[in-house]
Amino acid sequence: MVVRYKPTTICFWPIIVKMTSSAEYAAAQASSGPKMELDGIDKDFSVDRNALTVLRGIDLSVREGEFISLIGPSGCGKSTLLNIIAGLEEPTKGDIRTDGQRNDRRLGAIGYMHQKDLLLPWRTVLDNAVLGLELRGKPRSQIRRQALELMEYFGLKGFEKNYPSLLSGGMRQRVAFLRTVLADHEIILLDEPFGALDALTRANMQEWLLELWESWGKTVIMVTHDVEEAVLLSDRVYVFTARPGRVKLVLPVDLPRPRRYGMVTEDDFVKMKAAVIAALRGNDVRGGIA
Amino acid sequence: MREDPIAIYSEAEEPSQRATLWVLSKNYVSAMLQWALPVALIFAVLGVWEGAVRLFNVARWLLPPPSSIGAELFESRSLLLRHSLVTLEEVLLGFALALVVGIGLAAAIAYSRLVERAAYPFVIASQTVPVIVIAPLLLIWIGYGIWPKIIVVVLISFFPIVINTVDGLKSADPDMLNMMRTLGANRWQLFTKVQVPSSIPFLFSGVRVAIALSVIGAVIGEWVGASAGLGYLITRSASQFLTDRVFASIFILSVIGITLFALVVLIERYAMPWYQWEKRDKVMKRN
Repeated sequence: MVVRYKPTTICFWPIIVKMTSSAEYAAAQASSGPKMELDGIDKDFSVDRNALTVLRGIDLSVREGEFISLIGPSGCGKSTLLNIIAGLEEPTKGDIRTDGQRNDRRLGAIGYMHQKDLLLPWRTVLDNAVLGLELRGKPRSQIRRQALELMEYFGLKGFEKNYPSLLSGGMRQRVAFLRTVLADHEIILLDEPFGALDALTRANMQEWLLELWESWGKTVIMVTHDVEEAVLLSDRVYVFTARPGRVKLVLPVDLPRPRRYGMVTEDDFVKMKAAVIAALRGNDVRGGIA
Repeated sequence: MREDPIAIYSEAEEPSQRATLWVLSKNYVSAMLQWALPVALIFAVLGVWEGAVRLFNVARWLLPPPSSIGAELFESRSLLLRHSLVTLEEVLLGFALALVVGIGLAAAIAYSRLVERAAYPFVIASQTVPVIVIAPLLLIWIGYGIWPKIIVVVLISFFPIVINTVDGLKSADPDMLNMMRTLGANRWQLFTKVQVPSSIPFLFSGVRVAIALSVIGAVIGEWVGASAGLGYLITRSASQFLTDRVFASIFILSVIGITLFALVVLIERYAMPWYQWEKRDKVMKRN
């Protein structure tokens, strides 16, 4: 039921747009098994010969096409968890399964977007956007055409030939998004994608991401510090404890889709937000959600 | 939703602001100072020099006045040109070779730990032995041709290229490299698509130093043993107390050095348009 665009499809944007209605989305969720499962993930770092436990016993699962958020105090190991999922680091203990199979070859197979846009300054917007496809050896003319078709949707039309240092923070982040979208991985990790943006740009970007994701149908795991952002975007919110990071609470967000930014002031939304904040504060004596 | 990136910069350049007494603006004054001051200083020094030499009747072979150096430049122009071309050839060939050796070595050092451990001590050792000591040995081994000079140029100018390029290749942002890995980049792709471009600004800093050193290297090579070139002309003229010719040769050497340096800066701007924007961006953020 889930509509996925195949990597082989040349002109894929219309196919993404097909998957829209919330009824269709709910049906898709009910029918599919977990896209990714983490089973008892521990992560220790050795600091001056002392083991420092960053993550302990993390169980997490995400269904195909689901959007989940990880939220927790600073230093609770959320970003480490994303690094582990992406394959940049290995867990000390535990398994990671994708589509029911243990997956030890995740690096390069899972999309990962950092808080920093990490655009290559010597490449134009267009050449940055096509990076993922270029690394896989796709022919240049074809990947450029794909990227150019999406420029308008990403608000980058007319800036294709600019160097990143000429762009605003919001635009740079959208180039990074476009790069992630074009790389076309089934699972996408977002590490505080809007953390570096000012409040107004962030709200715009959140709404834009909502629209993108709701028509995109990818499985997304997002780390954030922002409770409102977590509730607005996610199907479920994982609340983490302070270090060593553990899953304190998994909160399903049963707000209707498609969502809009305006919902943040509605009663149901505020209640949901309060629940997350309560869970966050409950575990941190020093207070603060950081 | 869409921000106009140009707006960030156009604020400071409002036409109305630009029109109001631009001549008196800070920028104009500082630009004037930038050019006028050094030029005025040069003329002042030359004037004092000329005046002092005439006033105190200093012997020509001891210190010729600028006017007679100028005259010498004109009168011996064909002689000076002939020797300049020899030196220029040595500089350019030596520098080109230093560039190839330097970049190749730097790439190998940055790519492989093993090469780094093996080669780095030799690179550094090559700079602890003064070139002026090696030059006579080259003369004994290779003779009086152009090659001993080229080797001296290479020895003296490959060092800043290697050191800077290695630093540049290692300066690549680790987050950027990780981002590339999650997009599926292999080691070679990381090297060519992130490390190499990151190193280019560093490479150019090394090249700017190297080009200046190349001129010095060629002169040292000629000093030790040569039958042509500005370095040779300087030693020969000095032994004959043709001091104005010595000064004329020095003048040409510095013109060669400055021109080559300026050429590198020009190529740098042309080769890295993104870097100019980035620098400007940083300046903008600081202000």
